[in-house]
Amino acid sequence: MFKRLFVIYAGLALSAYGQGKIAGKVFCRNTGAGIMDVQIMAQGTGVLTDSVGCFLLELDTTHVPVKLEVRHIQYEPISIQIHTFNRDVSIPLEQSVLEGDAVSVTANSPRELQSAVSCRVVHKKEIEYQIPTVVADVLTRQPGITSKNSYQAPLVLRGLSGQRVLILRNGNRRFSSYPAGFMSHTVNVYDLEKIELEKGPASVRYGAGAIAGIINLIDKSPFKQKGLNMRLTSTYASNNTEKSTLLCGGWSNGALAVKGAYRMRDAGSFHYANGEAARNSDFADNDLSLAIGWLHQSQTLQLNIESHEGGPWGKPVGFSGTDFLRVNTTREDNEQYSFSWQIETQGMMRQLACFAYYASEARNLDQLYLNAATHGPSYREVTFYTDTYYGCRIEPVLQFNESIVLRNGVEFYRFGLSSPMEITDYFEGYFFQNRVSKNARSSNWGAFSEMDIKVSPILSMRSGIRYDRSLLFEGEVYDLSQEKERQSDSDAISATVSAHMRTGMWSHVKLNLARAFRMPTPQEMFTNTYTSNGVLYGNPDLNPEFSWNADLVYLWEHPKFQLEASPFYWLLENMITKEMIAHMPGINYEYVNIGKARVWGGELSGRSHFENIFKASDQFQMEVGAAYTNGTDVSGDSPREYEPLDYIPPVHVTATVGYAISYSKRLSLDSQFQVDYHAYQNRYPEGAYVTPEYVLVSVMLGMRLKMRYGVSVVRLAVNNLLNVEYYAFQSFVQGKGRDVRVLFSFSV
Amino acid sequence: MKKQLGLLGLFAFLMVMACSKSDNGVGPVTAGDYPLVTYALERSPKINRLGAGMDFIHESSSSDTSYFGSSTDETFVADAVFYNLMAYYTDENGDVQSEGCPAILLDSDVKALEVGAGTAYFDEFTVITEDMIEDLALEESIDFETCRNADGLYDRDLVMAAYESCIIGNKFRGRVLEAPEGTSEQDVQPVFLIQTVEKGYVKFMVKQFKGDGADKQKTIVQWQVMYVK
Repeated sequence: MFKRLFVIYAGLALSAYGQGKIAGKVFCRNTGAGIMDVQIMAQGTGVLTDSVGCFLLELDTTHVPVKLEVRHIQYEPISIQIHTFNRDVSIPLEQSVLEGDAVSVTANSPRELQSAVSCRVVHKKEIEYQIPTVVADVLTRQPGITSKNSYQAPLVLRGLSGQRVLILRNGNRRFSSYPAGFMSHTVNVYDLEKIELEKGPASVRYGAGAIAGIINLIDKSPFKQKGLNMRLTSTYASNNTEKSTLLCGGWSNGALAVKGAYRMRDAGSFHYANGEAARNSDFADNDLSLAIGWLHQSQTLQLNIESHEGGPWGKPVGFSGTDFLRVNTTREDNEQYSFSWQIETQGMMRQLACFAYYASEARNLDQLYLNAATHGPSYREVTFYTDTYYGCRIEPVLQFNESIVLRNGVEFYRFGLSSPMEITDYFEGYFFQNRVSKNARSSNWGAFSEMDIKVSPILSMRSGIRYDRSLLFEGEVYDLSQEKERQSDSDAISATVSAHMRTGMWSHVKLNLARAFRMPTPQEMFTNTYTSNGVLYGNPDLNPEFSWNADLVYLWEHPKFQLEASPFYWLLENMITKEMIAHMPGINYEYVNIGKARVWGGELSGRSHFENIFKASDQFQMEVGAAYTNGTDVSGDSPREYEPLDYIPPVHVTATVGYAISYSKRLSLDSQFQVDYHAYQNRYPEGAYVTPEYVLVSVMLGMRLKMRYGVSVVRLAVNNLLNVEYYAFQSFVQGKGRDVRVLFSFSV
Repeated sequence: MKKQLGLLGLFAFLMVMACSKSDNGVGPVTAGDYPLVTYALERSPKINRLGAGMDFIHESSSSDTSYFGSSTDETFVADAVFYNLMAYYTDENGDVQSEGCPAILLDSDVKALEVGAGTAYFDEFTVITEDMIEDLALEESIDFETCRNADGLYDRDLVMAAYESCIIGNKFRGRVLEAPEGTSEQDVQPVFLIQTVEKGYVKFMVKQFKGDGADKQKTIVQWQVMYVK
């Protein structure tokens, strides 16, 4: 392939007059594989390599030698001198080790370019910069993502959350016993290699729930570093005296690899800007992870084991709007096992990947109600959630020729949940138990096929289709008039068509049209919930919810500047919503499939970096981002009946400037200054809770010192520097006041 | 002299008639200029265990509501109490379930009458007619001890049945109130005329059984004094 391309390139070169051309290929020194989207720059111009790592660069022949700058986010940058033109060059790159690197990452990665929708990869270094408590701390700085002021709050992507955002761990689906969806606080954020955020539908590849997008939490590979390595990290936060210690280590000889990590942490209640403590917001937990890998020729086997032991983990008083409720997760333990086997070949089947996973979770939710008059105990509900889920995926990738790649996949997963309760009425001196749900479960099968076609050097197309079938079971708690549990089945078809066009040397346009879906849950179908406001009835006739999505992405990928604009327009149909039952006395509700919504908006982000400003080894970087989302309930018959959707976040603008400098090979320093502006949401439905606008300022400083026996890193992050009193969007409790966070790590 | 005696007798007769017209003391009343007050009361039966008292015409300036069991203010005399009693029942599956049974109960010296519905009616209601005053009624007190089941717990069905004899009772509750198509809760919430312990008149309604925004856990009540004796 390379030779063929070179002949074409050489022919082009001969036809040129007054200019020289350099053709070449950039490849990975370890694997020999060509690397896509490597930046090749010289004489103030540049190109990106294509999907097999080849490039062609036109240069002025009067200035020789020419210095070629070769850069890629995952590889060490190099410079090479070119003395003669109209020849081919082979450029090997070494994979870079991001850990401890003081210079910021700014360029988009291949993952971001290859995605059919707007995609952002947050790397370990960016994660560590912020010294976060939970994953949400990292992601809420990304345009399009919001979260409430609580550690246990779902992530909201483009105004949608819960069953409409899919959370993955190493590509495997994560379930949760939380009705509002996955909560990120049980994940050790410091053990993640990166977080992939895809903003847009992805049901074809990932199945149910990927309507608004996916968040893929990816662990560090045990093959990351060769030899024996160890790292000790400690963090401390002034606001809530949060202390954490992380010890991780590993060994690899390139063929075998082992990695382990252990973290323990605890924190007191956090404080608002006025100095008042957010009562009942203390927490403690421990994490343990182990990864074992085997690499043989083109095969990789990997086993991951993760364990989390959490609790007590409190929610701040007032989070739900009353001061008389104390909510504590007294226990939150989970164990996950995942296995992957991947093989790459040179034949038509380029890759075969198999994944299997199993997880079990146990969570005790303790809700203590206080008497409004005496503030003494009144009523206690303890729910014992236990859930188990497992699944597997097989994904063969076939390459018919240089232009056509076919990715197929079959998937199965099952999720089961039990939630018995113990209730104590202190006033009546009465204790009782009930079952609520026991082994309510769903089993799902899915199969997809997705084809990538390279139509021309500048145009790639992707089309895919998927079929899913779901069986839902009521579980062992059901009406005595029934002989057995109820069950229901649903099926769904999702599809995608996308185009990726290189519109200029640095610019790309991506257009994605898709249909995505989510399945109803057993609780929505079978469980009746009694409240003092009425009864919420489950509906066994519920069908899947669908969305029609149109996403456009414009990327400008200059080596010094990156710009992305990603407008979107989505229509959600068959939305599973609560509807008042007309034919029954009183105000009662049931889940129905009649909701329709229109969500549109977009994100705009820009990044730039400049090197060698004051010294030969410094870098200045700027990053800005903005997000706007508009949501409307269009279930009514006419536009006059349309109403703004609730929970649609307001305009969010973020700006960051940073400066990093290496004084020698031993010492490097970096700093960042960040401003976050959250506007007031002036489009909201009647009766919605609306919070005021606010601005947060943060500062981050870091020092990396390479010593004889290892590398030390000291970082400082001051969040809410100006100690502003604020409420995150639709949060009943204030946000944290000023928080000085310190991280120290030592690695050998 | 006879004429004077006749006039005196007529005057005395009119006086007697006026005084005997009703125990409520006055004829048609036009509302005075008193402020509209709104309170958000904890609705959860797990929190509001003993009721929240409402003193419509309160001597003290501190507050017009108080959760029972907390007030040390001896001047606070509740005209009405917002209860949300925690009651129990056994569901179709044989499981014990609890449910809040909200209601507003009147003091034994307080009379009340349902006069209309909706916030618009509440705002426009400024004249108390003689008929309204005539129809004001006392409420029989509920003996909650008779509403307990064999386990000694409040029985949901017995409590709900007991509320049916009340003037306000649970007429404001989401599960009881019916909102025809095209109307909202605030269009159909009943409006009450209440004669307080002090024999003053107040118009009262539950504005929202379930509040909005930060008050989602609370019930919003509003009243406006119309006349103070």
